[in-house]
Amino acid sequence: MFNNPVLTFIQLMNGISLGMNLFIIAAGLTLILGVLRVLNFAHGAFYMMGGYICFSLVGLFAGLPGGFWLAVVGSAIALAAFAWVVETTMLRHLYDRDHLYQLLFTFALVMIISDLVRFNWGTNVLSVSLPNGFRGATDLGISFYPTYRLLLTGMGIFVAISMWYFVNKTRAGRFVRAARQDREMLESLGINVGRVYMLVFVAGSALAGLGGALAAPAVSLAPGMDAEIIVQCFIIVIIGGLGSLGGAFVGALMLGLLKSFGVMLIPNFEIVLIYLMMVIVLMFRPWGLLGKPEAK
Amino acid sequence: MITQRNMILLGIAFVALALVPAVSGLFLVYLVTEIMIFALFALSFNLLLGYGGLISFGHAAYFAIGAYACAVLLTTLGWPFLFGFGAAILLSAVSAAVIGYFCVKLTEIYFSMLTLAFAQLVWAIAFKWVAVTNGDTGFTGVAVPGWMDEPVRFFYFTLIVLAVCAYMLWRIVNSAYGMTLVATRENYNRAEFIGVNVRRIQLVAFVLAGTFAGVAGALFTLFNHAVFVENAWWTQSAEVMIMSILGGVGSFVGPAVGAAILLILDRSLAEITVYWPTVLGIILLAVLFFFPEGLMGVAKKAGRKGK
Amino acid sequence: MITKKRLMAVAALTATTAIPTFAAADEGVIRIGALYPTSGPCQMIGDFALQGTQMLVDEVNAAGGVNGQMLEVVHRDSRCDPAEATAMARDLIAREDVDFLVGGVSSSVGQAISAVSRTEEVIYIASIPKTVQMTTPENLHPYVFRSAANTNTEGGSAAVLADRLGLDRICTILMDYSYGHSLNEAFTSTLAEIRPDAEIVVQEWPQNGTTDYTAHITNIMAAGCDGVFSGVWAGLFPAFASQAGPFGFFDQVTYITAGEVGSPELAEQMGADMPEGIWANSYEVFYYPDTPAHNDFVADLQEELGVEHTPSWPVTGYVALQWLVEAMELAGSAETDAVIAALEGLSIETPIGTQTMRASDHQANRGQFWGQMHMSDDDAYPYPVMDPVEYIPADELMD
Repeated sequence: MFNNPVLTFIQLMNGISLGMNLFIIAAGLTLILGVLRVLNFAHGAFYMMGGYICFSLVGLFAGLPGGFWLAVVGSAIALAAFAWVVETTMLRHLYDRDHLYQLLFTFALVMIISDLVRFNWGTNVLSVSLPNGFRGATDLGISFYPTYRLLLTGMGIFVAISMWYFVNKTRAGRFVRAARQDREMLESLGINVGRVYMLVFVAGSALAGLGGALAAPAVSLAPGMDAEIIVQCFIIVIIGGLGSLGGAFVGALMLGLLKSFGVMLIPNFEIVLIYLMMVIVLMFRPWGLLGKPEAK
Repeated sequence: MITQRNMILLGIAFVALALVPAVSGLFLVYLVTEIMIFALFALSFNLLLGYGGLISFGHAAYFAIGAYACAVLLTTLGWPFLFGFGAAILLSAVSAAVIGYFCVKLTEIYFSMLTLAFAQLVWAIAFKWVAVTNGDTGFTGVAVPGWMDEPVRFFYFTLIVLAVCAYMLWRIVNSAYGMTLVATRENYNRAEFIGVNVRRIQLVAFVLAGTFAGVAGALFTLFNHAVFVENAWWTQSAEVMIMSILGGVGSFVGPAVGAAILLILDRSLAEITVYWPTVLGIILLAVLFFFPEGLMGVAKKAGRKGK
Repeated sequence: MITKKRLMAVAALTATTAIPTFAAADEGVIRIGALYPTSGPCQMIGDFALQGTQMLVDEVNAAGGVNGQMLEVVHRDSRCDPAEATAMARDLIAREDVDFLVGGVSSSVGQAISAVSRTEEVIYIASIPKTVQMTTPENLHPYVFRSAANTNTEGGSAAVLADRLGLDRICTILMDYSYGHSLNEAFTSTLAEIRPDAEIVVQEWPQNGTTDYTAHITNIMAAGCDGVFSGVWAGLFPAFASQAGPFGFFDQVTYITAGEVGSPELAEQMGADMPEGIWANSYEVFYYPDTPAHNDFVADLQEELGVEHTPSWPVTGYVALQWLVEAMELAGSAETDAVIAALEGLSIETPIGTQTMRASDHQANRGQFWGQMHMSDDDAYPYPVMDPVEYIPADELMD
């Protein structure tokens, strides 16, 4: 296959753009996992809601210039609001409880949200059209490549850079980092840790909504799409390291590339390989490729 | 004294269950058989969760290994029942030993993640190894021996297996080993400090839990004459966790009660409304916020108040 | 100290909470257990099929029932999960006392229900599951019948089209689970027979749960084939189309797809996003054939669902029950053995034409509608339609 440079290039682009879309969703998951220590199984359901809300908003904003982009932003905001309600009314009362109860809570959310989506949008497969100006392909010199996927790639990189900047270069980001490592210390400094948790959950969920909205034109909206994405996100987060943003970036890229080159090199067994990779990483580097081992 | 009274109660429970086929229709025979299978699955899981404090996220793997092994050994290879059934359980135990060896090296969330990863690997193999497992179409037409291939007979077979397994588990958790296991849950460092090999204790729990899950899986195969890849998917692991928490992880029989509640809820809600997942979700939330000890926790409190 | 007292509670609980609410088995009523998914990933199909089932029941009851007995549908959610479907099928038989089972969507659920019908000795009509495995000698049993087309018919009819379109270098993209593999066997074997010179160039197998097909699309486009046979079914197709379109995929190859991509509900949903000129199939399309029986059916369905353009899945539920009703009428009873005898070799008039249930393997000769998707020029229905559209019969293909 590598004797065909154009094919190799396109597969490389396929892998990167898939990875970048996955990164946006997985970044939210790893952020929540790192700070709140909550294994949020409902993250996939949030992603699904993002896609469906985008579908409705696209209809609502039809005719407006840049209607699709308004819909994308609207979906992220809607998910942020939804997450805020979930956090303030329920989740915050569970932080002091065992992991187990948080898990159960997110399971319950998954069940309720999937019904909510069914109730609101029905059971038919829905699709969102590619936005104007992004329907075709762009000439990259080596070959043509679908413009919308280039955009997804760009968005993923943009999210990665802004998150890196936020976490590492801003005051609020320092609190987030501190909350990830030592909650007690933050409390003793007089920081309202509850607020940090709330903001992280809202931001992480907004990323799921954003990811769902951006993916909507590239995937079909159908019941069950949440279950598909959550497994992939867990793989990414585990490989990269729980709570590590850089790890999620690398993990997403690896998964994307494995999928695109895997179908050329090891067709049929890529699915076994992915789980095997996850097992091996956990066995030898449980804190993930870019995570840090926890102090005992 | 207490043990004696409990033995009597246990006996009464056993007799009550044994009377089910005599006093009820086929429907209840099926339902209670299914409940008993999942009760055993949940009891095995609680050895890890309730006693060991180990949150395994891949317990379905051993259920599925037991189930598939039983199906393949009896049907494809045509082994006699006892050998096939026994070997299937042994295979679950061995798999749990191998996987557990790696898992118990990790703690907390990493432990959960590795168990999940291994379970997904088991699922992927079951899905792809079509020649043996028949892939996503499911392994149907399992050669169930004629003497048990009848609902009421199979009910009694399951009841006896459950009683034996529950008794063994009960002896295990009340043995010196069981106490040590609880000690490792309560305080990992202290247990290690006083010379307990925590990892080995946990590994033993992992193997035992996997073995009994394998028994449940083999029973499932015999009950349904079939086994499906969905049995290895992570939602099955989540389900057993929900059962345990619903019933209460702090008591020996809690998870079994939880299995009964979840299955009954599942069947009855699905009849009433297509929005059964919402109702189930709300019930879970209610348990979470108002009865965190699970149903047996509530019962325990009520019992204390009564005295 | 943990006490064994709680074991008692288990017993008490199972004994009290689960007191069976036995359905009063009314002698004058024939009860039909319908197992369609109304939650989970297959629910889009299940809801419609259930509506079709109910429509036939209402029609039959309004006309006085079957042999003087009324029909009643008891539905359970099969959830696209074989283990769940097994439990629900048992539940329907043991508790609801149903006389017949119909339904299922995925191959695994079909196999699971078939397994229950075998042990419980209750007739099961598979209305949607297509896998040939259900009717192969080792799995076939007296109680299972299939009103759905099987994968041989579906894959074979695609090969017939490929031959007619003169395709010589063909790539395939089929989902890597049993449905895809069965389609592949049917397509390649039929093609080898009727067009021995055609070559299968590349075979792509997207994994279960994949949402991204670009790698497969790229491989196919690099392989230089003139035609593609696809099993990316209706539930997945919009994603595939939106990923393949920008690559110019549909302009480069002649695309023939199984999996009901031509169904009106998907065409309406996708609108202009439906690629022009692809060849797709459907169980039914409201605009063809223009026969009195079919037009009546569509009119009834419009009324039943309150929609102008009717979906394609209700016909599957409708016809599955039609088999039972006609067989019971012929047998003059609802007794299992009599109905089996009546079903074998039975021919019925369905809304889309005459069909026969083969005695040898209990497979109906259900064909499928195929056509080339083009934007309709009817202003009242501005969606893609199959044009031309034809019914490819199953008789030559189903083995």
